[in-house]
Amino acid sequence: MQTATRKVYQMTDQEYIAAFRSNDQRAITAFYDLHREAFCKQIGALFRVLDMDSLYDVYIVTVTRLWEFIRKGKLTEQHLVKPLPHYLYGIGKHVMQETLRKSMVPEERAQMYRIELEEDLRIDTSFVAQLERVKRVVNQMGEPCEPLLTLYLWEKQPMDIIAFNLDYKNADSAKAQKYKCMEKLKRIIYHQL
Amino acid sequence: MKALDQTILIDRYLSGEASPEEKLQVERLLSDPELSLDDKEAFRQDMELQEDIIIAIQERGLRKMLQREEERLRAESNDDQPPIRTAVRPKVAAASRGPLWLIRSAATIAIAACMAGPIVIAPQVSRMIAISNNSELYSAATFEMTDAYSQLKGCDEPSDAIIAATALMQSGDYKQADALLVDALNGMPEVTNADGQAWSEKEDLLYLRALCAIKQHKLYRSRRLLNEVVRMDGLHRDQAAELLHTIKHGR
Repeated sequence: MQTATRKVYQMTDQEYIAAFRSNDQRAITAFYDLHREAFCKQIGALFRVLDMDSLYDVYIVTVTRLWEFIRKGKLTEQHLVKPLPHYLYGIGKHVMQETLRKSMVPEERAQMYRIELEEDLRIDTSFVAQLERVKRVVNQMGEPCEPLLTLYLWEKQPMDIIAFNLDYKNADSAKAQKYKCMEKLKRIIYHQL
Repeated sequence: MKALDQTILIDRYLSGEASPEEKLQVERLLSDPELSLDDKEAFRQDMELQEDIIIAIQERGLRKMLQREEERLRAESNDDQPPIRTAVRPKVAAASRGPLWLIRSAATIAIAACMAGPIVIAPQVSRMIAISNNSELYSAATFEMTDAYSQLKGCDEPSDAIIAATALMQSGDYKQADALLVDALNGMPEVTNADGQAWSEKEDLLYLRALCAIKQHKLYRSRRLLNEVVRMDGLHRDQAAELLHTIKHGR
């Protein structure tokens, strides 16, 4: 346990990228804890935002977006030309800009200086629009798909345990339901395109 | 191929569960020269969409996990508030629905608490700040926990958490060191003084946490932790008792 504690707090950037890619929840949480205070102080000072609650919300979105870039293979160990926190702060600046832009009136918004994330960090962001559409559909999903897919894809629970916990006859029926859910989500997204 | 069959095939391929035949089938659907470009592009898009669905579901899980972690961190920082607040709050809540004497007693407690601030708490805080500026104490403690550990305790190397925490303390990052120590303490099983090394390691972790609390000027937390170290009656008992006495009454 203690070895694991030290490991997740002292991982290299390459190890953190691998951990993000494989959804290592412990390592992601450690990364989150490690940079939280410094990130909020720096971004807060840069944008003159004093409300810590908003800064923590921005930080959650930023870490999530960093994970998306890694999961989509747009930020890999080979892409890293600067330390990983540099990318975290770069993404954070853009998330903060987006948040501020949403709260502004259109005239103010037009005057706001904006650097595109792609130019700033040299990361391919072409996937973002489609992923946002998919996220909107996924966020509306309810029973029985939401718990089933979350337990399988995020919690990485085996199908027999999921079947037991969600009252399916057996692992095969849970698996069949999982495929149906996936198919249904695809149909809805194709319908909206 | 039926839509559901294609979904199953892609799912098995993306999750790494596909058989060699299924892998071949996917590769053929992506690059077979006999298939039209439109068919191949449609299959590639279908596969990308399915991957995006997986990412979107995992992103929901990740966001919830980070929100829970954020709540935990905020609750932890709220624990540092003086306990006097929690002592008064139930009284005030009871007073709002109880008889008049309860309101009076709540008011008495509130006034006493206000007076206790400057009279009792403020001198303790200033004495604690004076201790926190004593760099010798910290370098001695962190040195003792790492380099001279084996001679002092006659046992194995210090734990990884202690090495990492003392390194953070030496670099002045007391908050992070404290988070690491809390994590290590939470991961420890229940120990008694019959457990020898584990008991002594718990005492080390608590003592280091107390030093971090002093450095962060957390009066109540440092007093609680120092009391705990004194109660454990181990190697740091005398140092903890002395620090506690200095905070409470001065030298």
